[in-house]
Amino acid sequence: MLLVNDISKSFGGIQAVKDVNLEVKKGEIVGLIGPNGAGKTTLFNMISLFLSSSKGGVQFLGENISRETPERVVEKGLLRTFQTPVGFPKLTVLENLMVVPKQKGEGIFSTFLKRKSIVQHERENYYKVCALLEQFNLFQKRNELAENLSAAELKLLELCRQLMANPKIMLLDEPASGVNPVMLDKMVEHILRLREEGMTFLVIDHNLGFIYRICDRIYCLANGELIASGTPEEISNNERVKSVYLGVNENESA
Amino acid sequence: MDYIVFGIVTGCILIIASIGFSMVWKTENFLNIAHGQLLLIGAYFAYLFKEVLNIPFGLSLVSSVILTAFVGLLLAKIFYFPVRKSGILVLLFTSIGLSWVIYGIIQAIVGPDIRTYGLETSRMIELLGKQIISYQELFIIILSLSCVMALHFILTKTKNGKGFRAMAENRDLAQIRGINSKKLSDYVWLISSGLAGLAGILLAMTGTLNMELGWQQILIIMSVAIVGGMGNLYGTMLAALIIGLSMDISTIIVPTSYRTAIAFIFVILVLLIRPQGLSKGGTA
Amino acid sequence: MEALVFISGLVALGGIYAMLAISLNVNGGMLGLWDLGVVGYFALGAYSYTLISTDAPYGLGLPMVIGVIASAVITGLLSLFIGFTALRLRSEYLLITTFAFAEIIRIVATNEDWLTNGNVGIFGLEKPFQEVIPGSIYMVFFAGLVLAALGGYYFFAQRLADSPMGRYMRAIRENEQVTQSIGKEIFKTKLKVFVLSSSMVGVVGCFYVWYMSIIAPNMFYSTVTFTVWTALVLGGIGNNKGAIIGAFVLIFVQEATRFIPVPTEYSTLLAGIRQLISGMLLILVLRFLPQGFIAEKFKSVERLFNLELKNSIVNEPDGGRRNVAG
Repeated sequence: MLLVNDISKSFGGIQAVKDVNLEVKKGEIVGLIGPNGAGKTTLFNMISLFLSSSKGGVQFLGENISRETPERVVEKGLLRTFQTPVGFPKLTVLENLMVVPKQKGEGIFSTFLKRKSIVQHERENYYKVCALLEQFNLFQKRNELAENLSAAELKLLELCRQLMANPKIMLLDEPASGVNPVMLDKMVEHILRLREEGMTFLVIDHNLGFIYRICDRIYCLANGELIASGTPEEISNNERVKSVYLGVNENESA
Repeated sequence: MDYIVFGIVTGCILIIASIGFSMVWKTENFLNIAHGQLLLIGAYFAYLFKEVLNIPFGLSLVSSVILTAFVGLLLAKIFYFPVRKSGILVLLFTSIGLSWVIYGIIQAIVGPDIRTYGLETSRMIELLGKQIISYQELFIIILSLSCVMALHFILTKTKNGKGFRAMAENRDLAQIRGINSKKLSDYVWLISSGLAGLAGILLAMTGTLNMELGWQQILIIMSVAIVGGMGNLYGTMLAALIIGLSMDISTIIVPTSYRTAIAFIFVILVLLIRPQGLSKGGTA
Repeated sequence: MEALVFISGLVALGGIYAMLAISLNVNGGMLGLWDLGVVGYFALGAYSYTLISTDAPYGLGLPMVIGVIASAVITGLLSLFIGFTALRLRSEYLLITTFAFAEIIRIVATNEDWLTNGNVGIFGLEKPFQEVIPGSIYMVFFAGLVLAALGGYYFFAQRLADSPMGRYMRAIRENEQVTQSIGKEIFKTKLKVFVLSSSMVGVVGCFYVWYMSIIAPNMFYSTVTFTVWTALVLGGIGNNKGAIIGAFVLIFVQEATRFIPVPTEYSTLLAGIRQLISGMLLILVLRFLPQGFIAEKFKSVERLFNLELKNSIVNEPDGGRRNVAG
């Protein structure tokens, strides 16, 4: 479904990502792990075309998407979340989601001319959003500003928001960071349920327990290079992965 | 021929004026509008030393540059550092507010009179029987070139310089990979403000010293920074030379008051044709 | 009577700045564009109006209404060009381009004597309904006219803010990346709103011409732009009421200091101090009151569109209920 070929990126003197290859098949949950600064988020940014790659390309559903705009990629069904789930802090939870679908009200003239059909649209949109919020237990917070939510709620909101755009694959950037164990179980439940419904995931996280729980396969990055890949079991026993995680400090100061 | 010499001199001063601005833009990620007023501070310090305290010009120049560097760092620490977390928009408007404050203070002290450093008109250098360049102009060109070379050396050869380049590209990553961004940003502010002070003095040397110097220059400096490719230092130098030359050569055909407009026309052309600026980007 | 005329003049000027602040709030506040070209559209609108509606030798002598429409259209066209070149790129480009255009417009107005009569400017311009209203109370009438227009601007901007369009605009302001990540084409929207806001500023230019009854390049320094931004920051970015209050407060404070009696030798000192105070005010508000006098208000979507919940969904404890009041 998603194929990354020999992708590279450097900033100034630092090689952030170097010749990375990876593949995600339909219905899979694939993990991407590695110490801070390993280039995981840079890789995400390149896949979702927020950052142009210095070298290499990305294929999605058999098409080369390297030359598309980020918006077009979303239309095709590739959605990503962000490491810091800021979203729209000064919009309410409802607004955060209601802003997603394309609609008639989003024009200057239509704001003043097509009042009736806008209200109709808003109503349909509203019910859809409420149903989604209900599923994720955020319904009671619908009129709170997003900036007043807890970190875990923000992560859920982020997930909901991207779901509103009808994705086929979702790239999750650290969905578990800052989430307490109880909420983490919920998060796992949600992700697994979505997978049952046919969703595909590529997940970055530092919480290895979480990654091992949900992922079918895992890739490990360190200093921009892919150093290992395999099932959770293989990765958890891989010596290089262990050394990277234990010897973080030595690697970083180099 | 005269116009080309003038243009090169203008370009050299612009290089010094814009490099600091670009460095701050690269590392702090905001447009420091108050950079223009730092030119003004430097120029008036030199005036204070030379004309009021009667210190020789060379010494006045050096001490004003050093003083401006520290004033710049101090202002940054008082006004910018505390609001860094509030985002670049707040920083930007703080810098506009700071410009007003500096402008207001200097205006209250010195008043609206136009001043000069009272330097003797320097002799012309003759080549093949033609007067081509004055010692003063030559001094400015050599001084700027040595500044550029020194900066190039710092950026490519020293640890801090390399750190600056990494930080400019990706601050978070640089920090994670062990670069002390706090100390580095202090250096950036020092260098940037010092260069601004120097540019102010040189400008006042070639022309006159008046209150509007800061506001006039900041627009040209911003144009240079854009044309040079968004804080890319070598691009900025090239852009400064090109814009300086074209501003002065253009006065042959259009009225002098359109000089500034010429710089903006470059900006618009660059935005239309090569949004990434003159240089390719990549390295700082 | 004189006091009334004086106060009307102050209200008219405050109202003009309030209209500018509302227009700026549409793109600077709600959409988050860094537009430093306010004075440019302001000047362009004013000059377009003057050159079209004034009699020869300077103008074409067409009716006032056409002048006003032309001021909106011409500013709109210029901002379309500016927006097209600069809106695709990082926000700094927009800031510099708008700033630069504002300067170019002033430089052109200063130098092209044949068009604008240069630095001297054009005097004795006509005002609307000047024939019917007696001169002694004209300013009172004009203040009313400005306030009426301000009301219109406020209604328009508020309606926009409360619509799905307003929500979309605020989303772009909050986070362009995330807005892109949900598949929105933000460039087109930014361009539309940018042109709208600039045209609104252009029309305010006509009011300024009527207020001053002359037009000259020195009315259009970049301090106007900074004053409008300061008004918006003071009042509360994103809030239309705040924009109005900020503008009136700032104008009253600035105008009040002009009446402090000082010997002429201290006038530059005072001018310097006034600059210092404006600058410090901006810095202090940004640091300690970043929301301004009135923070942006949040209206529940449910109330705005009278949305009611389907029975099947309402199974919550009383907590969230009161928000649904409408």
